[in-house]
Amino acid sequence: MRERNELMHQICLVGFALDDVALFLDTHPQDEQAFAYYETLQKRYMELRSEYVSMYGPLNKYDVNTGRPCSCNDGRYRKVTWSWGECPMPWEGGC
Amino acid sequence: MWFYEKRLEYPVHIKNPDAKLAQIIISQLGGPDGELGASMRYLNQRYSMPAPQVAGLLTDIGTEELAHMEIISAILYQLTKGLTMEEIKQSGFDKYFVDHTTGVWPQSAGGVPFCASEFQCTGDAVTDLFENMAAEQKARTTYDNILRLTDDPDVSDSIRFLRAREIVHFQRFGEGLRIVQEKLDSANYYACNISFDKKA
Repeated sequence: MRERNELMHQICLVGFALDDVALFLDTHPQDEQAFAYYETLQKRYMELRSEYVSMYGPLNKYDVNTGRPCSCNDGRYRKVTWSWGECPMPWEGGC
Repeated sequence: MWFYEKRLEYPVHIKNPDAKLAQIIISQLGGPDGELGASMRYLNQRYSMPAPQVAGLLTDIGTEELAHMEIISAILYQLTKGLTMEEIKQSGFDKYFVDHTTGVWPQSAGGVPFCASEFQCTGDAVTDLFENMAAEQKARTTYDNILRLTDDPDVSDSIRFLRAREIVHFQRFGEGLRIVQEKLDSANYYACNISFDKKA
């Protein structure tokens, strides 16, 4: 569980940086340094979220059933089921 | 079109419920300078924004405001989780509780329900961008006041993140205004109603 929280923490950190740089690029689209940074973050974000989805379940509805069974339902959930509602919601300290 | 990413933009982990604090923080959900008004303001203003680049900015900031609404709602949910009836009565939360129990509903700290009159979409790009810059400053002031009213480190941590975002959004809207003004007809000295009067 500690590993899951750490992975989510990394997703939050990189996801936030990505969103903040995107706003900067909205008003500075010609800034090459900012764009290079955005590309680095984008790659890292995709890696982290794929790792999360494969181990702990979907982050958005398009991820459903692309990963392994969700760990927070005692293994009762099988890959073929609709897994979107399996994990606790973010305000419950979940995914 | 939108889709939901199942995570908070910034984490909320509150250990101690506090109904009194929830009644103050609810203003940043449905109050005059709250996150619901912020998201509706920017997302509605996009259609009369003549500069596509700035319409993109309104989309991205308006979307982030939806995530801020979720952070505030998570704070309210956690602050009111597991309250005893005694705590509800003593904190004055009973007046909210009678209508909503501990459900999250947008109103100001003073109990005024959320209303679309709290934001504008004038259809004038310059007017709207000035409104947005003022709105970001007003929300920053509200967050400053919330920080003055709480000493709970778990709550302050998430509130400080939201406060910092108001400052960044103010900066970005200032740049958006500059972009719009650079594209104005130089004869339109007063920069009035460019979205409606200026022919393409």
